[in-house]
Amino acid sequence: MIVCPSCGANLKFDPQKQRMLCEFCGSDFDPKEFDVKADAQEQQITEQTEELDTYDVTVFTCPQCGGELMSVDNNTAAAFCSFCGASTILNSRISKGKRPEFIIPFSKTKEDCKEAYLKIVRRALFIPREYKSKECIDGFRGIYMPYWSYDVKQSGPVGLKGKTESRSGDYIITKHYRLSGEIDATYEGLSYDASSSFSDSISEALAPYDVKQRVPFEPSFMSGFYADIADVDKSIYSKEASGFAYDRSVERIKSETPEFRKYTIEDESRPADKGPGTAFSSRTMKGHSSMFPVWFMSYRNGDRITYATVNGQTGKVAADLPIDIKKYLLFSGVLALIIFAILNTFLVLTPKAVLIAASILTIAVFVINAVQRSTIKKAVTGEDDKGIQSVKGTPQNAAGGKKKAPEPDIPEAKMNSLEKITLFCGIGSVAIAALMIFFLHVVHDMPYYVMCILDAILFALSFRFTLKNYNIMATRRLPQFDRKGGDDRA
Amino acid sequence: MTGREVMTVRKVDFIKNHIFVKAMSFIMAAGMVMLLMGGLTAVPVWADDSYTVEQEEDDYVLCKNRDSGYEILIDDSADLFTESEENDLIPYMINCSDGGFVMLVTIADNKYNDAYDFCHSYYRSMIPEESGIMFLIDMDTRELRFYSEGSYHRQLTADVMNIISDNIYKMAHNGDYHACAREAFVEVADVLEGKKIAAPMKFVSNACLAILLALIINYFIARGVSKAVKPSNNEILKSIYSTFEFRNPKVTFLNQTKTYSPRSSGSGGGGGGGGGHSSGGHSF
Repeated sequence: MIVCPSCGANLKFDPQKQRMLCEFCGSDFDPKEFDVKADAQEQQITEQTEELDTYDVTVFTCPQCGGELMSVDNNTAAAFCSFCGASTILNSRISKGKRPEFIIPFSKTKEDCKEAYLKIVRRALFIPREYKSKECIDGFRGIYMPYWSYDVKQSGPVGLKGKTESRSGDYIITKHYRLSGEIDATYEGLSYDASSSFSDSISEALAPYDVKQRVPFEPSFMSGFYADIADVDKSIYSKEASGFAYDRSVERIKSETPEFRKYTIEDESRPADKGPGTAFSSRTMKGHSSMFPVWFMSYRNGDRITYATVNGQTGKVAADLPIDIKKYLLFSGVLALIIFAILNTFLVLTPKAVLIAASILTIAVFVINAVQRSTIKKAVTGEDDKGIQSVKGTPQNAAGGKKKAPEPDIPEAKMNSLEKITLFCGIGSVAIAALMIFFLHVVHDMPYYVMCILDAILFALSFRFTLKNYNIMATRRLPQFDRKGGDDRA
Repeated sequence: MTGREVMTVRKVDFIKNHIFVKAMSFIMAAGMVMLLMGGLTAVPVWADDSYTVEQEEDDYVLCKNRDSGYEILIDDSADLFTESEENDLIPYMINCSDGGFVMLVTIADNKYNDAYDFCHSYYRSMIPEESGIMFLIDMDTRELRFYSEGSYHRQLTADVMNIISDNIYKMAHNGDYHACAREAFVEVADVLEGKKIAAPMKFVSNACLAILLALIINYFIARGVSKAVKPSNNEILKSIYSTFEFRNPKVTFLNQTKTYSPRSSGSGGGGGGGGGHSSGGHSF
């Protein structure tokens, strides 16, 4: 606990004033100055060895999901879990937290955060009312999220491939060149989240944090806030950082070197996260542990949870926005009336055209559903989340190489029997429609309209699953962390 | 009054009624005969003063409006109409002829294999630069086709002609070509007079499509609003410390390759719309 030198009460960091504020006597202090005084002895120790670079924290563990949060205030009790939304007193214990190197202090207040969130939520027409409720919005909690900030250094000779193309009669003449030079570039502060409980999708959406405003870490900045625990190894995003820096330098060489302008630089085809290319050296020199501010709110609905996050430095919002089916249908009804008026004014479709349109829309829904299932699968398995993958680990075979993991059981991504029947009928219906239009040349209008109605019914049946899948995509499974205190029954 | 007397009164009433019925029947019959006689002595209904028959053969009737010069043409090459049916159709065609030429054409053999192409060609050969409407019953491709140009084109759009075709194709399918042609010109006349024509399936199908489209569009709206906006590379670069220096740029020629890539013959793009004509139809 950071104690007020004037009255002995708990001091909290005030984002608006960027100072430590005593809510009891109203005094305020510089966080850096304050910390030096309070922890002079600890500072002396930490200078000796990195291993001992720790600070006192209270670790709160959720008895339901095992999620852990840290706080420097030891006289508070967390009454709900931000990760699983459980309203319960979290278990707490005094511990030592590993001291990060840098911190970007909160500069957006809770009020700023609520305002930013409400701005987004107001645009979301179909969001359930409870997501705009005062109780829900008051649930925002200031959490420092751990990040790895990498420094990338590029130096030495550059050897890029370039070409020019010209035409000569029926031939294209391609001239190949070597574009060389020397590079000296640095990229400091490329940041990636270091907590597996914090999804990469959220951290990417909240980015960027302006690392130029980071300051050396002082525990006093954490007073009044919580912090998540870093559990992702420093090496995980190292290649990605150097690859990103490499690509940016290639772009800058192309755009900022007049001698190279007339040449097309041939890019090496490689995924961005596979590290840098071979044209020049791009190495990650160091990864700094950092704490970045996030206003975090979770809303639990049955066995699903939604997260809303606001960048505590810039106010950028990334939120899960599920839809209220009734609202969705109401708005769709209104939109349908507008479209109906437009269609009646400007368009007369022949029965064939109507059937083609209905068939295309039905196919579109089936495609959307398939894409949704794939997205759900990726989200549940954390396939696209390097942090989660690194914590879960990749199965190794006896020879030490990677082996194909068994297909995980993901009920959310599975089709139920009604969905299968609908898909089967849909394919059949589209096939019959194609047959009628392109081969049978049916003269009467009625069969076309009957097929249209059939398509519309199949569309409606499938669209139920589209909406259901959407809400699965816009919400998350209740987390279960492999940390102490996790309860599988939660 | 005794029972017998009651019977007598009833009989007298019956006789009185019987005489009244007979008298009414006679008057009506006389009236009908007079009407019939009047009808026989009168000129045909379509043959108003302004139209004269210019040419009349077995399957070909051409009438001309003396004042405007507009013509009514029936070219029944497929021999679908009797002479009286042709005469019956002319007044309906006259109703459509205020703004230009009106043609009813039937064919048994379409050398173009496409009803639209035939219409276009036939129309241009008959009245190259005049406003008009043509209705084709193509027995070869089994298609009804309207074709309009000039002033008609503004009111008789492809959409309108498709609606009319939808309304009449069943008659053609059932072999009642006379009724089909008559209804076609009745509905054309209605449209030219600014009346609405019945298009029940248009509303049903538009309503159906509107609902499906609304559901899908709203889905994409929801996705768009909830989609996380990832920062651009420039935004990321602005938020970090970065330095960049590139020295001694040098270009070295390595080799040259030659790839055979013949120039395309370069067929021209499709021509622009000729403007001023539209077409709509339905198979039967």
